[in-house]
Amino acid sequence: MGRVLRYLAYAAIALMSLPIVIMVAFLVVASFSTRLTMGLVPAGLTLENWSFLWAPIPWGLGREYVWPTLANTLMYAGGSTVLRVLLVTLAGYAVSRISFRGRLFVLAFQMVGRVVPGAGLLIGMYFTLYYLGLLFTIPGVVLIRTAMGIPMAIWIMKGFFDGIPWELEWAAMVDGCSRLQLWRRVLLPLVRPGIAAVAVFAFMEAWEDFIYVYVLLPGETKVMSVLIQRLIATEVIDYPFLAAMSLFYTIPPLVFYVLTQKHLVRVTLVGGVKR
Amino acid sequence: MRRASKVLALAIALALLTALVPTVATGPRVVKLRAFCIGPGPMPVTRATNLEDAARLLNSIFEELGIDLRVELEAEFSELKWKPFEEKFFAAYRAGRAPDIVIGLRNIPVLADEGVIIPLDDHVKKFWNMNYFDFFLSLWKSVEWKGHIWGIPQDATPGCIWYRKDVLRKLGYSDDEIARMLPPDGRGITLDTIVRLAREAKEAGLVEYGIVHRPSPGDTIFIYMKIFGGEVYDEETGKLVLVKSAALRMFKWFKQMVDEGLIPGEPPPWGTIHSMFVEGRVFATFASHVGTPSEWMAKYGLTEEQFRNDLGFLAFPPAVPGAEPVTTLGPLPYLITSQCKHPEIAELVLMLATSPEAVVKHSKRTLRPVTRRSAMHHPELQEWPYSYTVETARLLEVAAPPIIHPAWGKYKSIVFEHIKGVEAGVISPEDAVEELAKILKAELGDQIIIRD
Amino acid sequence: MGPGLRKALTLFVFLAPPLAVVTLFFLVPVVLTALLSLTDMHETLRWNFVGLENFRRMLGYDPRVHRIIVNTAIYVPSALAITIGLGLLIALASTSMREGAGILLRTIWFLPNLIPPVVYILLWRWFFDPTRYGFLNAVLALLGQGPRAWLTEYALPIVIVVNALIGASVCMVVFTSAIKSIPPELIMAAQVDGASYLQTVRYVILPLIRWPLMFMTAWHVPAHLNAYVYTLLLTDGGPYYSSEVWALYSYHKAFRYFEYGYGAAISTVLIALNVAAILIVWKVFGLRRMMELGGGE
Repeated sequence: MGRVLRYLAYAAIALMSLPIVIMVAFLVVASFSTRLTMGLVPAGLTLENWSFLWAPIPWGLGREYVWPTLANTLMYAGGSTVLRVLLVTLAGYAVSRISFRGRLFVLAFQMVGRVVPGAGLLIGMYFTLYYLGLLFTIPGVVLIRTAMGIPMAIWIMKGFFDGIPWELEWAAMVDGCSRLQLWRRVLLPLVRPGIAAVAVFAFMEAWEDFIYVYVLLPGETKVMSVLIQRLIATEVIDYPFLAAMSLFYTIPPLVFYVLTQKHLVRVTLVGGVKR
Repeated sequence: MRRASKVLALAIALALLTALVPTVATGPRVVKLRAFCIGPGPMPVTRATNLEDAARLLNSIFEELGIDLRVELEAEFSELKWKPFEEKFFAAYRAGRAPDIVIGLRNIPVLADEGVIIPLDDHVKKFWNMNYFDFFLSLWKSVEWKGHIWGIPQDATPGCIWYRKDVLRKLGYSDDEIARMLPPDGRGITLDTIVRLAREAKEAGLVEYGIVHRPSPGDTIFIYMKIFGGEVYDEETGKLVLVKSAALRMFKWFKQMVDEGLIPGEPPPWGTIHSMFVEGRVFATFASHVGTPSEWMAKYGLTEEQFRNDLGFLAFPPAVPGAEPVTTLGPLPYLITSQCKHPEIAELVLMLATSPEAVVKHSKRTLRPVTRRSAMHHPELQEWPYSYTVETARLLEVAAPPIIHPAWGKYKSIVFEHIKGVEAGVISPEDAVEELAKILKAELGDQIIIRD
Repeated sequence: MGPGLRKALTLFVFLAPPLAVVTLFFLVPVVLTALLSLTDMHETLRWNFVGLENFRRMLGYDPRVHRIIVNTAIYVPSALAITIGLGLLIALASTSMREGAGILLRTIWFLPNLIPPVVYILLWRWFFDPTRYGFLNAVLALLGQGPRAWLTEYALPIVIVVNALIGASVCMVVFTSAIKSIPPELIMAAQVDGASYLQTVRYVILPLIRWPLMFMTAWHVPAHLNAYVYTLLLTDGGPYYSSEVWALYSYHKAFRYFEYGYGAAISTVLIALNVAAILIVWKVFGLRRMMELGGGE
């Protein structure tokens, strides 16, 4: 009885996993196909869909290269990552080390920051940037994205800083180091895994971001997510072509994730969740 | 002593230089103007180039007359669509950096009431006999609000039904029969003719769909309401109107079309609509205007021959007896913003940018009807395909001017939402009418009159 | 310079920049949202103070609010159930099968999280495309059936599943590591006592992973309450608001209809709901516990 139930459960799970498998298969298969028939079967194989890598794609009446869009995306993702890492390595240390009454307050503050919805704040963010003159600029969106990720990132960094023994610091301070030097020369190298984790999250979040760039950047400045979405929305939907571009767009986060696997495992244990 | 004299010499030299520089740099006074021009889509780039040409022309006039003034005009042609363009404009406007000239904003009542644009009455009156006398009158109506003129009409996109003559020929109809069944002015026939032909085409397996329509709200909402016997605007009170019985007929018609498979249950995106029609997979499209063939030829592979032989257009015929055929005007004017520091110069630029020459350039590029009668006789427009723009100009005389009301955009969106709901089968036509009335009342308050 | 002052200064250097950024670009927007909800800010970016008019409209005479509330009330619990249930199911399954198979299963289920939202939705669109080029319809065609407009007919359920899968993906990871950290002796002891797998789950595993379970639930309630991007991209509120949820309505009103003031009011209500959810969690679990959970030890 138990056996039958178990196999039934496995069958059910396999069935439920099927859509994901099919969809990912589509992404890979379609990007190399001329056309798909019978659902997933390619009618012919081709590299045509990947032509966006070396030739301009149809856009409006003319054609445009994808590279400027990629550059924008990298600028946005890179900028967000650098800024976030910088800010949270500072704050994470402070929160972890320095004892003061407000520490509990800061922690609670982070907690609140974690749960107030990014969604509900989009309008507020739009107008904040507007009144600051940063609306429709890349620095503006970078700041917003960083602000949203800081609470969680501080949490992560705090965990890593916590793991460094006091003695190390005392030794350095006895030797005459100021806190800042101590932080930069001694501690930062020791929390590299934490930095890697924060950097990966920051990069992936910005790379994959759609709604913030869509609303807060002007239409002429495109990033990959917006480009693909606009292709879906206005042009004739050519699945193999879109699949190729989407696969191209999906690869960096996948690579990043695989490369930093070990660090992320520790982080997910820290209750780390992406959004 | 030596050093001091050296320093003194240097000082004198510097003083002389700084005194000379201003005089050397004096030339004609330069006025800088900026313009934002919308497409949407790549065809109407002449909106921007005409402005630049106008500025150059103005400069050469100034030079001829020895006037010490030059105009430097920077026209930005944007690829953004209507709403993102609006957003971009207002963000710039509120930051104090609005362009002097803008074309792409349509809600004249709101723009005028909030002081975003300036009235152009004096200019138009002053130069009426020189430039503005032969614009089609309906175009002037489209820029009128509260007794003032707020823009210079630049172009018009009269809405119409495009259909495939080649499909009809395959069904066995002769060209004469086609001309009789589908007269371009839509008179003497009803919407049923189109539906019947679409049905025949579909049953013969010649097309995938009978009719496609816009995937977004547009002035076709006005058309739908009118051909089903309703009104949308009350002249006396200046309020918008909903006629429930007409709306009910309209919703029922859409539902029936979807049920028969003649209209897709979900409006496809723009690219698909255009490519389907150009490829002949759809019999008729309600989503285009008389100028769309330029886009079809430039982007979707329609050939000039196909344009001439295989496509036909007509005004929207009435769907119920007693209603009249309808074409909408679809105008777009040049506007001058209140942040323009040299409105007189901007006005002169606009005048030259809407000269007969400029209008001809624009029509040749976009295949849209010429907006002034004098342009109709221009030698460059006497041969196909450009003669087409002269033929269609006659439509401007009978086209219905747009509804000028601050809540018109909202009205259109709400009605369109309900059309989509009915097509999707999520709401019945009867419920849709009730919901529509409720929501219009809630959102438009006292600006809507609801009649049965 | 005394030690206290020096310490304060150091604090300042380290904390000021990040706190400034968060305050300016996260907290100020909250305040701004609340303020905007009392105005009629619209596309020309001009506004008038209208007091509570937006809220009166929301609760009084906006006819769509009723349906949207119903949709949201269906959406959040359903998505939550799928998120936790499916996450738990996959976690249990992948830890009770062979290691290799388990890893494969977990990898498959983690993929939705790695794929960017735009692509994720593109894939689902292809799956449910109403023309015969969509996957499901292509399969139906093979069986001789005509194409169906899935996203039109089943808008809300599909939207729920699409969103919930992302959450399930995350839960699976958390639960798996929690299950894996249960000392194997406990499980073996139970089995030696003759317990079936289900009984082991019920009496040994579940109690021991109670905290991650509760934490994930607490985390996903606001997550699902605020989710709107996937819905926006997939059905855009579905045909005639049939898949429109509260968070999405705020976005639509603000960025599609340019009614920023009204949209802000809707957001304010959303934020209030979130705060309520947090307070309840606070109460039920106690703040200390929550921070410990955050530390994950």
